[in-house]
Amino acid sequence: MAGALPLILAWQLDSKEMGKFTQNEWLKATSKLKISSLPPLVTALSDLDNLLILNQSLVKSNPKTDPYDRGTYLNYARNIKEAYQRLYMFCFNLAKPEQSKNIDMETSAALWSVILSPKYPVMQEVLEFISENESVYKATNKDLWTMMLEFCETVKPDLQDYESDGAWPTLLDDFVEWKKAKVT
Amino acid sequence: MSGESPMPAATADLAITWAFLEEGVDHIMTKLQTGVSYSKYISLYTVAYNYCTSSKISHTSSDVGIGGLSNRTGANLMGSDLYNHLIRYFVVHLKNLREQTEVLQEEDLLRYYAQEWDRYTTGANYTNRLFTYLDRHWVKRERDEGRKNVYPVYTLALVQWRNNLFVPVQQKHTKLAGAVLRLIEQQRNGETIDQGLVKKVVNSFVSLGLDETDTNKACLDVYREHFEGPFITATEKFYKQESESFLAEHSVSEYLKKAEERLKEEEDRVDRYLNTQTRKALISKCEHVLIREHAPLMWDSFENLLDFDKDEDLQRMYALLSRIPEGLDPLRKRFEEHVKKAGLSAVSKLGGASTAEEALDPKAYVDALLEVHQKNSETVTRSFRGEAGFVASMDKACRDFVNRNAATGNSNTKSPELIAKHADLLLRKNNKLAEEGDLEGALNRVMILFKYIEDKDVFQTFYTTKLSKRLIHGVSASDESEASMISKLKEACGFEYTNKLQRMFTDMSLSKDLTDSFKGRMQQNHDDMDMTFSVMVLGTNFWPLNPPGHEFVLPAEILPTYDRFQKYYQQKHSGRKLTWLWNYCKNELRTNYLNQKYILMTSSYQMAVLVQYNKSDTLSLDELIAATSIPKELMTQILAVFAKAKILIDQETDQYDLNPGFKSKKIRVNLNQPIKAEVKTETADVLKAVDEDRKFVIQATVVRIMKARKTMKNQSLVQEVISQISQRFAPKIPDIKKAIDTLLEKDYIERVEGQRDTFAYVA
Repeated sequence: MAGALPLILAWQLDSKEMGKFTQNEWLKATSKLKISSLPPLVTALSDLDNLLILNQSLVKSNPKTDPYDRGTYLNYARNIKEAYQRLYMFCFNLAKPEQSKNIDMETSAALWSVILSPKYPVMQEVLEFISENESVYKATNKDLWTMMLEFCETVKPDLQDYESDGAWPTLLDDFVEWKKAKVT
Repeated sequence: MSGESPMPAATADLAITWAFLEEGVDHIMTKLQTGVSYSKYISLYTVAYNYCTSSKISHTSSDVGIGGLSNRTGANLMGSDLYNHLIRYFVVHLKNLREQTEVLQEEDLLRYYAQEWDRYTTGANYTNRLFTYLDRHWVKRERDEGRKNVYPVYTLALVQWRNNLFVPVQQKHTKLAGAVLRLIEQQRNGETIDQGLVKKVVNSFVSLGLDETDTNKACLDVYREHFEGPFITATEKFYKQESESFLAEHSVSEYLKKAEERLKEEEDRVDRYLNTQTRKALISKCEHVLIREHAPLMWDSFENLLDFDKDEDLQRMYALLSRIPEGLDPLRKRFEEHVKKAGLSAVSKLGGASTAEEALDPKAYVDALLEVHQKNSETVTRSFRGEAGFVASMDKACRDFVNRNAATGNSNTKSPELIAKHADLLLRKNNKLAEEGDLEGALNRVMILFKYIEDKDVFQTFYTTKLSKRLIHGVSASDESEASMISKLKEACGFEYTNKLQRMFTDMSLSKDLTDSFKGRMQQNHDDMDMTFSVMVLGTNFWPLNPPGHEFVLPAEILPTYDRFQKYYQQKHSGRKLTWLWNYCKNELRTNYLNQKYILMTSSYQMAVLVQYNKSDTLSLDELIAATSIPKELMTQILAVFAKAKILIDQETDQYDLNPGFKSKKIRVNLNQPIKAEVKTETADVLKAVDEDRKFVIQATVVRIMKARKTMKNQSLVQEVISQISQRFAPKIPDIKKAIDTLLEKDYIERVEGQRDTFAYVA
């Protein structure tokens, strides 16, 4: 599995720790999706990947021929934005060590590169900026995580409507300044 | 006397009655100066009275039954006859007067007019009294019934003058008012004119005004229409022309004088012969033509006047421009620029400061700033009457150049540092900067600059550091001066600002007592003490002091005293922890190995090194380090000082021998000189401390505000933080945002759901 698929799987399993799935989680999720072999599981995860991250059109569902139960899928399709946000916030909690309030910048950059970058091209530049300044930005707190999505969703790619006196986290202020300096 | 006709009977008819009255009225109107006998006057009055009353009685008696209405009608008729005769008389009389004016021009006309006006109004006054009865009854009733063109007799006379003399004369090219205006122009051109005459004529215009609804009320319509309007127009034209041609040949300075004089003259003119109501219109027109029209020129030459300290001209320009709306704004702006420029160039002149920052003398710097401040604040008081707007410009300019100038470069902390250093030099013992009596004055001057410092916390930190040095080394000029300076700072910035400073003084006096009582105890227990010991116990939180960053082995020589004090103190205050700041201690060592006894003044580390030579005359670098635990780098510096002072001899590498032939001119030899590297790191340390402090101050402020407001938009939160902190330093917006980031992370605040730019306090 590549890209966002492992994260989507973890999300669907509602797993508690990165890279670990308990048998209980596995059984619960697969029975809900009515999946008993690997190929339909891959289909189920790519369906969500296509729908939520790659912005592709809806798969026509036919309960009789569907490789798995697409009920949950159709539910998400009714409010893609909300579903995506749930996935996004799930990732933060998944990656965050239990005692910490933050995830380290390396991890969060990796997560962003698979869940935000394909959906929002501007993210590629943000990641470039972060890697240029890795000594400055060491961790991502929940606010930065939340606001990063908000930033991608609301600000136009050319950043013309970015308000520097809006309440953006400093990382984003710095990024916008960096980008504007680069353009001129 | 001559041809005095007999008084008609009470029942005489109109013709007889009027003939008698007319002869009397004419006498009064034309030759009053020849006199009217009292009896003549009484008989005239009686005839007028009789005529009105008798006819009234005869009518009422013949018209009994019709009642009150006809009663009134009768009186009306009789009064109107007399009234109409009076009108006819005035018309004829005035026609006569008017014909005389036809050949008269200018001043002659005015003289004739004024003379006849006097005669006429005096006569009309007497005539009015003759017909008092007519006024009181017939005229009053007519007016009560709404016939507003019926006037009391005196007013009637004025109305007739207006209609039959004034207006017709004026109609000929405003002959009358024109003559007055030409006289005024002559006066403006410096000629002497008959002001009494002008006053009389102008006053007649005022008298001719008539309020139709209330004849007793003053009304200026004639004055306004025939005189004031043309006068203002003429004034405008005159001064427009004059000011332009004057400025073509004279400097602005001279023009200021001229305009000031002209305005004064016009004020006087109103007092001398115009109606006071004209003052406002006249003066505002003059202000417009003389000041407003030339304001840009004045603004432009303002700087020149400042550059050459033309105090009087500045005063004049200020006074003139303050008379027109917004006249001063450009001056304030230019003044600000001027002061700022002066401040910047004064600092630049200190020479090469930006390249060799170390070399900049704090006193020279402070003096340069103060000189600019003093000079310009004098200008504000003297030339601008201390006006608030100029004071504000002055303060803004000072804030600019005090914080940012050639000496500071891009650093926000250099200026507070230099000013704090200057204060330190002032407060040191034996300073030559301030004359004995003027230390207080010099401190007050420091406070003038302090007021302008943006980063007051930087000043505070440097000041605290310097104060701690003065106290520890006992080099403060006097407790009074220290206290005075602290109270000034407290007054300017509040209790919190000087809290630490005051605690430092408390520690000092407690330490003195502690040393004394320890000495007392030791004298009881250890009589043979061959060591003088004094100690300062200083609160960790109040003193900007750091313990040494390395190990230090106490020499055996001082260990007993160290232990005794340690025990003594623990006994007194159990639970308190003493940290020994060897790096701030100093010692005095008596030499016994030389013929001459010297006293060597040293630091603790130097002492620790020297006492090693009690046991051996030759020691290697390694041995010394092993014995004292002093780091090698510091040790070599210490040894270098000793070698230079010839206390030790370093003929072989890393080998130091005691010099048995040491000699010094002074008995007390000071070896305790600060090491260069220390001085540099000191400034860096202070600035680092300031930065750390600020982070906490900003965070604390955000929390305090959010706790009070519960929710707040980002922008207003940032503004509020700035306004609350700017008293201490100018916080940068990115720093505030970082504080907000941190507080979000720590869950002190959170974002309000759905509103990206609003924060809420998390209780």
